[in-house]
Parts: sequence; structure tokens; C-alpha cells
Amino acid sequence: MKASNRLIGICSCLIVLLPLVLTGCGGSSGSGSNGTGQTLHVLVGANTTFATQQKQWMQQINNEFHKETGATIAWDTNTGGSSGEQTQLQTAMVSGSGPDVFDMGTTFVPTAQATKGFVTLTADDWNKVGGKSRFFPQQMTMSGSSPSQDIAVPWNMSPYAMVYNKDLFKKAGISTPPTTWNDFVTDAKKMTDPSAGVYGAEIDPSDSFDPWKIWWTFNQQAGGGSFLSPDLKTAELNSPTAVNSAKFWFDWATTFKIADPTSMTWKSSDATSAFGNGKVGIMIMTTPTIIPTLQKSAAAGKYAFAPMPTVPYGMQQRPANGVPAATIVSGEMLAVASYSNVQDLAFKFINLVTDYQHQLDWTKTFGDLPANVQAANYLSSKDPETAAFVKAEQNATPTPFSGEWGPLEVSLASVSSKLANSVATNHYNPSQIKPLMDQANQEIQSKLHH
Amino acid sequence: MKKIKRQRNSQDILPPTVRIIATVFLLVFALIPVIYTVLLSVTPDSEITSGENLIPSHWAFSNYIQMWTSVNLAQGLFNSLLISLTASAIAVVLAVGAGYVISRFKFFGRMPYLYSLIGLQTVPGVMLLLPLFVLFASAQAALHFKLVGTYQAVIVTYLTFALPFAIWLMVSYLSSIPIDLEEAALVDGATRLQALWSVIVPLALPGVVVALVFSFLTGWNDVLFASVLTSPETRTIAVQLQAFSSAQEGGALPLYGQLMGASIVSALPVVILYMVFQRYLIGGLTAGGVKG
Amino acid sequence: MSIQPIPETGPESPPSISGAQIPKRTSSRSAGGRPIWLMWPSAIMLFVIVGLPFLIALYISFLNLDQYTLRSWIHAPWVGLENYVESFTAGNIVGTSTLVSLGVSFGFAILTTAFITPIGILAALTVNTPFRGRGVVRALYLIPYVIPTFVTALVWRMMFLNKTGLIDRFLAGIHVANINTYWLLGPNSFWAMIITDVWASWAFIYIMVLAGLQSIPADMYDAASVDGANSWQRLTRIVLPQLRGILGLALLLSTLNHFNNFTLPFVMFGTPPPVQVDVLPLNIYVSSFQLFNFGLGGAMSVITLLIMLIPGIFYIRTIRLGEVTV
Repeated sequence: MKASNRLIGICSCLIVLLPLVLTGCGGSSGSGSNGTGQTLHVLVGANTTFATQQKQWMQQINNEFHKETGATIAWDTNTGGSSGEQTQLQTAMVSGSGPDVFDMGTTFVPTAQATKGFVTLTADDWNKVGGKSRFFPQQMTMSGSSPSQDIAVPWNMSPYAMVYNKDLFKKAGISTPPTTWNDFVTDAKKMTDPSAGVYGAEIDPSDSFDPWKIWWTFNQQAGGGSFLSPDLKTAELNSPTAVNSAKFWFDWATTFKIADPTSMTWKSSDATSAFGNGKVGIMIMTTPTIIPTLQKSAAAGKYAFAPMPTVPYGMQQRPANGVPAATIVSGEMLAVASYSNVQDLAFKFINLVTDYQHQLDWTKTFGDLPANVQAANYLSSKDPETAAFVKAEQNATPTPFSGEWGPLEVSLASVSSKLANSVATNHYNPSQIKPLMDQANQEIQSKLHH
Repeated sequence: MKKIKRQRNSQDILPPTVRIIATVFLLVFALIPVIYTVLLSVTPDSEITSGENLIPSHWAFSNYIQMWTSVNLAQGLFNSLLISLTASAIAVVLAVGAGYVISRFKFFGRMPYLYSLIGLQTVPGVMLLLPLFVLFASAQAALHFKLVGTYQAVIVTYLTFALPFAIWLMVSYLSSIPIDLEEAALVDGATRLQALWSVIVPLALPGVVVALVFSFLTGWNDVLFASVLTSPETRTIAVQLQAFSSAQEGGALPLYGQLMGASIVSALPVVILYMVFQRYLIGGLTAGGVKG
Repeated sequence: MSIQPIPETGPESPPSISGAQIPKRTSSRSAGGRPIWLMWPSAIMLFVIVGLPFLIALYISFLNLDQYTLRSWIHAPWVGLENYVESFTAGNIVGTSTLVSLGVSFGFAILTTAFITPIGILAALTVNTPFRGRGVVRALYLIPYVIPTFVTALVWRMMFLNKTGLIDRFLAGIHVANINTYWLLGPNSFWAMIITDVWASWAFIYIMVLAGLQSIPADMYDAASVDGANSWQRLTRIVLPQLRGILGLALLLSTLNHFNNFTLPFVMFGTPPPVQVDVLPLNIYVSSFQLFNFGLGGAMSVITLLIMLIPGIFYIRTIRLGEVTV
């Protein structure tokens, strides 16, 4: 009787473990030894605005890819936005398994390269994806730490600009969009009407990314550099221009009163929504990606894009060492994991989605601009709005290629959130910025030394 | 309906007026956020963000239609049900076994095992996330089968997380069941397992139900582990919803109405589950809390 | 506070026989043998799914594991206790140290528990004896408790939005506060988190107390009625003393659960959170997964674990596991 009990015990253990083993067999038998049965795992960001379209796009790419190579694509969409993207990359790196192709934002490429977990592209690899000349040169500055150390292929780009409400402009008698930040403030004041809930500008200090992008742009224009020294060894977050950048932005809500003072909890989506409701005159640091969203809003047909001002506040022209930084080199890139055993397929996939026709299709559906030069030129010849963006992209400034850039973004988001805390509780004083930036600087500096 | 004349019971602690006021107050406290959620779910998004009127100008029932395509709700619900049900069923079977042994026999390692159950319950989940993934991935590489992203990996994870509480509950429950009953069965020639199955389990049913419900919730509520252990095909409702709410990062308009609608739909199965088993819960939980 | 042994009878459980009364002979080899193997599957799974990852995390807490060393994490440089020291002195680069987060976590766990206790007791007293519609009230009481945490967090984020949320509308309506009072930022965020968790978890105390109330023998109430005790006297002299045991446990369990609550602040406030709500689990998450400092996150986890073990040990002593069944 005892023996039979033990038998049952072993059986029950097996029953528990059996499903594991079974799927295991199923999973491995799926991938044959020749090219036709293979599967390529691709991780892309989930698009909830265009969920249906994204699904269709995946289906279509999968069909074409299968026709061309005989292999299939297993799509993985990351959850939880950029933090999900990061977690998936981390777990993949630490375990040496996961997607074959990663889709990542340009500013995340340095961090990805720091893990040494991605294939460094040889000249041959570049040829497999259509050659370097296929891509927008500015985008290539974020492909790798140096031209011989590229890991990421540009997929699409989202140059930054500002979008303004034409109705509010007309009402305030503004004929052309401002080109200096002085004019920007003046124009915004003209449009502001708190009793109607209308503000000339907006700020979103609780966003995880907008604060650093905006401060970085101000800092560049004022000649303060890019928060890290050119040799990437010294943190420069607490320089006078950097502190001023943060101050100028918060001034919009606190001093100039051109931004909604109740917007301290805003993220970029809240600003978009306020703009869509016609409550914001100019929204800065936005990309063509929001066009389809705005088309569905109350502001449909009433908005236009323009480059952001490039002359610092309080100045008539940019200082000699200032950089226009009309936009950050921004967009999505594709990188191939070095643990992948279907790297050839991965490059074939990248080649497919970056070719002329697929890039055009992508823009039509999702709004981002093509990273394919030919496609971008075609689009700008068709549409002046796109032409403005493409032109902006030609003057785009890359962020420093440092593995600490990711943490630096988080630390600036934290500074912004703390300042928003102060504003929200009516304890805000511009003198609080310097100590916070000092602290952030010290922390980043200590990581740079590691 | 016949009006029941109520005589004041000696177990009534609260004076009638206090009782009525307290009940009303508690119901208001409990239900206002729920009602607000329902209201928001049928409010057009532009009116939620402009914040002018509480009552929407028109009912945006379309939120309830659109949300099924904005976020893969149906599949998320199916996955969550499948994963949570399987995990809780297996967890309870294992817990009954372990609880039975612990409540009936003295053996080497018994107390350490009980103590470690408590220790394991205090381990912060965030701490286990990366190592667990490493473990699954290594097992995957060593044994050449797919693990990460499969139902099995998530089920095994959740069922294990549910085990300490479930075992605990069963220990306390089973030890309150008189030993004589199963001895009688044993004398009649039943095996231990037969006695356990036919005599003990029916008696411990309330405890089993509680263990089942709480194990189910372990899986249903988790966001953290499912976000790295699932693939798009196996993604749970909790992760779908989390992804939906954080997708606004990309500059998309906040779809508050749909988000609230989706929240309601994802809470509904659990609410129903609780309502159905409410009677057992109160008895079963105390037994676990008090003695286990 | 001393916790009395508790009456074993729950309303649904069979007539109780304390485990202490298990006849000695059952623990020897009797008919049917000792199916100790029934324990193996659960023990093995716990070891593999919780135990091993825990050991790996412990190991990581002594490493300098970041984006540069992640790929071959086993060979990441060993830094001894450096992460532990760093976690107390500097914290992560957002500047929140373990001590700050510990304070937030403790404050959060203890205050929440302190608030839900009277509410839970009151709720249990309202439905302890039958009345028409009691079943419905009992069911409605449970709703906040059964709503998944991520839904609770999303809903209360909407409630607490400044200017447009229900809370600010209400407070402004009764002229208590400005319509633009921030709840998701600054010191208020701590209270917003507590209020939300109170709403979500008072029913736990309610369930425990309700079950405890039903195990108080009816004749105790009757005796008090005869003595002419009033409501307050009956509450403080009969009910609360009888509930002492179960309440003690409920409070401990509740404190433990709140201390480890990650989902609520994560979904409600996002990352990086206001420092006032930067509870330990959230700090661990940000340090590890957003700032790539896995060693620091690991060290914070181990510290959390050690601290959690204190109430854990207290709990073990309280429930007298040993006495009940051996």
C-alpha cells in the first residue's frame, strides 16, 4: 500500500510537470532545421491608438515576410510603455534569450549598446538592410557610439516641432508663429484667457520625458551643451544655463502665467488632450505622430505645425556657442540581439520594413515620418507640413551617446516632479532648482566614474 | 411581502439609529467610487478632461464597444480566467495534500516547513522578478523548450505564490477535523488517499473554497510578473489594462472613458466570484486567520 | 499587547477538536502509512519558484550589476556590502534612500491599518444580526475589497485628479478646499494613497471581525442584557475582549500586506513617484528596472525582507502553530 501511494505521488508530480514538458516539445518541434520552418521574434511597441491598424500591419508584414523567406514572424508587443521596453530588454540581456529584433527609441540605443548584447553591424550587415545611404543621415548619429560601432538601424523618425491653434492665433492677432522664446511668451500671453480656461502655452511636468527634452533644448540653445561634456566623462546638469532652462519652463506657469497653473500632474497626453479641446494656444515638443489623434479631436483642421523657437529667452539672437537644436534626433530604431540564431532573417526583416514602399505605408497609417531618405523626400514633395518636419530633421541635434543617458532622463524627470510638487503646494521658489540639479549632477557623475 | 416585526436582539450591539446611519455611511463610502467609475465609463473623453459637468451631456456607450478593439480585452479575460483557474485548482490540490500531512503527522522538517511558509510570504515580489526570469530562461535553454511566454510558466508561478497561504489555510482547517472520522474509513479498508478524498475533503470544503478563491485572486491581480512572463498570446487582463493606461505616454489622447469601462469589465469576474462564495469566505477565512 | 488563544470554532467549520488532541498513535505508522510525499510537490515548487530566485536575488545584492554587467551577470563584480551602505546613505540616483522609503512604507502600513480597524469593526456590527436586506448589504460591503488593485488605483487616480476629480469637486462644493487642490503630488499624495487603500481594504477587517463575532456565544450577550449594560459597555466589555485575538492577527496580516503593496502606488502615481509615496517596493522597482542598479535594488529587497520578518516572527508566535497541531 505504501508503494502504491508513492507511485501516486510520483504520478501527481508528473501531472503537474507534464504540461511544461508537453509545450516544450511543441515549441521546439516548431522550428525546423532549414530556413522555411524558422520563426523570427520581433518586439515592437504596442500602439493603442491604432491597435487595429497595427494588427493589420503585422499580419501584412508577416505574409510578405513568409512569402519572401519561408519563415514566420512571432510578434511581441511590449507592455507598459518605455518602462516595459526597458524591463523586456533587461530580462532578455540577463537571460540571453528573448526577441531577435528589438524596437527601441533613439535615446535608448546608448543604454542598449552598453549591455553589449546587440549585433555590431558590419558593412556587410548594412548592405543587407539596403545600405547606409538608404537612411536619413541625422538618424544614423544614434545608430551607435561610432560609425564602426553601429548596432541600430533607423526605422522611423519623429522630429519635434510645435503645433499651434490657428483660431486662437487669429483671435489674438498673431500672424506668424514665434521664432524666439521672447516672442513665444509675448504671443502666449496674448492668447491666454484664464476665465475661458484658455492658455497660450502648456507644461507637463509630471511627464517622464518632456521635461528633459525641453530643458535640454533650452540648454543647447543657450550654449550650455547637452548635460554631459563632449567626452561623456563629466555631468553638466547643474550649470547656470541648465538651471535656467528648468526655471524658464516653470516660469510659464508661475511667473508668466501662460500655462495652466493646475497642470502640475499633467503628462504629455493631458497636454495633447487640452490642445485637442482648444484650450491651448501652442503646444511645444510634439511630433507628427499626433496628427491622426488631433484629426479626431475638436481642434481638427484648426491646427498647424511650426519649428520651435531657437533663440533663448531674454536674447535677440542665439549666443555664439548656442545650437539651434530645432529638434532632437528622435524616432524608433531596430537592433538585433546577439544571442539570436536567426540573425540573417532579422536583417531581412529590417530590410523589408525600411524599404521605400513599406516606409510610405507606415507613415500613412501611423503618422511617424519615414527614416528612408527616398520615402521622406517623396512625402515632403507632396505635403508642405511634412516638408517642414523633414527640414527640421536635417538640423536635428543628437543626444549624447552615453550608457548613462537612460538614468539621466529618470533623474531629470524626478527633478521636474519635485519642482511640480513645490508648485502644487505653493512652496515653489526658483532657488530650489539649483540644489536639485546639484544632487542629480552628483549622482550621474558618480555613475559616470564607475 | 409580509412585514417582519423585529424584536431587538441581545446580539445587537449598536443602537438602531446608529446602525442605520453607520450602514448608510459605509455604503456611500464603498459605492461612490464605483458609481463614479460607471459614470466616467459612459462620459465622452473630452468632457472628462475639461471637467465642467459631472453628468455627461450625452451617454457615450460607444466606449463599451470601442474598448474591445483598443485593448485586447476579450483575449485578456480569457487568458486571465484560464491561468487563474488552472493555477488555483492545482494550488488547492497541492495544498490539501501538504496540509493533510502537516496536520496529521510528525516528521522531520515539519516545523521548518511551516515557518518557511511564513518567511516566503514576506518576500517582496519585486525582488523575485528578475531572478525568476533568469531561472525560466536558463531552464528553457538547458531543456530546449519554450517556457517564457507560455501559459505554463505563468500558471506555475502563480500557483506557487498562492501555495503558502493555501497550505496554511488547509493546515488549520484540516487539524480541526476529528481524526476519528478518517480512522473509521481506514479501518473499513480505505487507503489514506481514499480517506482524504472521501472523508476529509468534503468536511473541509469551506476551507477549500477559500483557498481556491484567494489563489484565483493571486493570479488575477498580478501585474508585475505577467508583464515579463507572458507573450501577446498569453497576456492577462491586468497587463492589458496596465499597458492601455500607460500607452498614453506615446502622445495618444487619454481614453479615460474606455479605460474605466475596461476596468469595470476586468473587475466583474472577481466580484461575481466573491459574491457567489461569500458565505464560505467569512467562515473559511477566519478559520485560516485564527488558527492557521 | 498579548494575544489570547482563540476559540477555534468558525461558523462554517465543523465542531472543533484542537490539533493538540490528535491521538499520538496517528503520528506513528498506522493503517495507510504516512503519505509524507503529499508534501513534496508543494515543497519542490516553492523551492524552485520562490526559494531559488530569492537566493539569486541575495547574491545579486552583493554585486555591481548594471547595464554594463547585465549580460554576464554571474561575473558582475563583487562589491560586498557596498550596495547596503549605499542604500542607506545615498539611495538611488533619484535620491530616495532606504530610510526614507522605510518611513513611508511604515507610515503607510500602520496608518492604513489604524484607519481600517474601527471602520471594519463598525461594519461588522451593522450586519451581525439579521435584518431585511442584510445579504445585500453584506455583498455591497465586499465590493471595494474584491476589485483588483490595479483597477482601484486607476479609479482613485481619476477621483483624486486636481480640478476635475470627484474629491476636489466635492471639497470645493462644500467650501472646504480649493477646487485645484493637488492630491497626486506633494504631501497630499501620501494621504491620497492611504485613503485609497483604506477604501480598498477595510472589508478585510470586516470579514475577520464578522467571523469572530459569530463565534461569541449568545449567552454572553444575554447575560449582559440582563445586567442592563448599554451598547458601549457591551462593546467594550464583551465584544472587544472576545475579538482581541482575531483582531491582533488581522492587524498583523494587514500591516504585512500594506507594507508590500507595490501595485497601488505604481499604478496610481507612476514613476518616478512623489517622494511621499515612494514605498520600498516601488523604490526597489525604480532602482532596479529604471536606473539599472540591480545590486542596490537587491540590497533594498533583502533589507525589506529582514524587516518584514519581525512581524512575521511575531505572527508565528501569536498563532502558536506549534501548539495547535503538535
